[in-house]
Amino acid sequence: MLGVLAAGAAFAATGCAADRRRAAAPTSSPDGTFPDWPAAAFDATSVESALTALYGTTEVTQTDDVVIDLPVFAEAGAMVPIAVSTRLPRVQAIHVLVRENPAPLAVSFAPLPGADPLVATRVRVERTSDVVVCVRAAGRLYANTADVVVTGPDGCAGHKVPG
Amino acid sequence: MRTASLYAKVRGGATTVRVLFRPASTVEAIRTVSCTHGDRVVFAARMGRAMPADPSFEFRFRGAKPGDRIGLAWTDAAGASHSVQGTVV
Repeated sequence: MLGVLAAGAAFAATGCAADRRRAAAPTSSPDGTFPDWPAAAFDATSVESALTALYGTTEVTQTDDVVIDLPVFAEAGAMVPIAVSTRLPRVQAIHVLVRENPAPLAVSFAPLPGADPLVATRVRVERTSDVVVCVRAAGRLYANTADVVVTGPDGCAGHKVPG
Repeated sequence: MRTASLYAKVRGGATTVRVLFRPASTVEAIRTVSCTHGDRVVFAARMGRAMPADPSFEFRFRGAKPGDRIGLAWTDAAGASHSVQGTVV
């Protein structure tokens, strides 16, 4: 449990510490920004437990200042493109969580000094799901949600065919 | 050996970077990805299991000019480190 908290605290501190740490001795990670890979958060089986592993809290403020660009439909098994940006000041971390995946936390980003708080990537969405984007900014958590409908091979959107 | 491509283009003062990983011959998942401009880290990502084996990223940073070198480094679940270099155009 201590390990969980340590990883979460380290991750939470990334944004503010990145400036100072750039000049410091390199850590085990090549970019020197995250001391480790937050295994407890990536292994978490719910959005809430992933956030708890990262920050020790599930208290988030819903906001449209986190902008999610996600297709309405995606093919089953496809890698779904997602683009995220935010107008929030002092962004420290951006997390993409796919609620219905067995391990919802897909990817975490640390926008660094001089980088714009936007990123585009692809994530695996195993079935029709909310996608929660959680942004750590100025020491607080903000989130917005979009959903993607995963269509089966027969194009039967959102409906499970028995058998 | 997993390879990756790195593209970076300046437009209007901002440099847009696209990172494309090739499908791997090994099964080790990529866990960390970072990009540097000189000594400066401009992008850092940590990946979970819901990421593809051949992930792609696009991001933007400021302060680069054409001809600058940028670096891409990544580590996998086995702890191996890899890197490639690219040039801003």
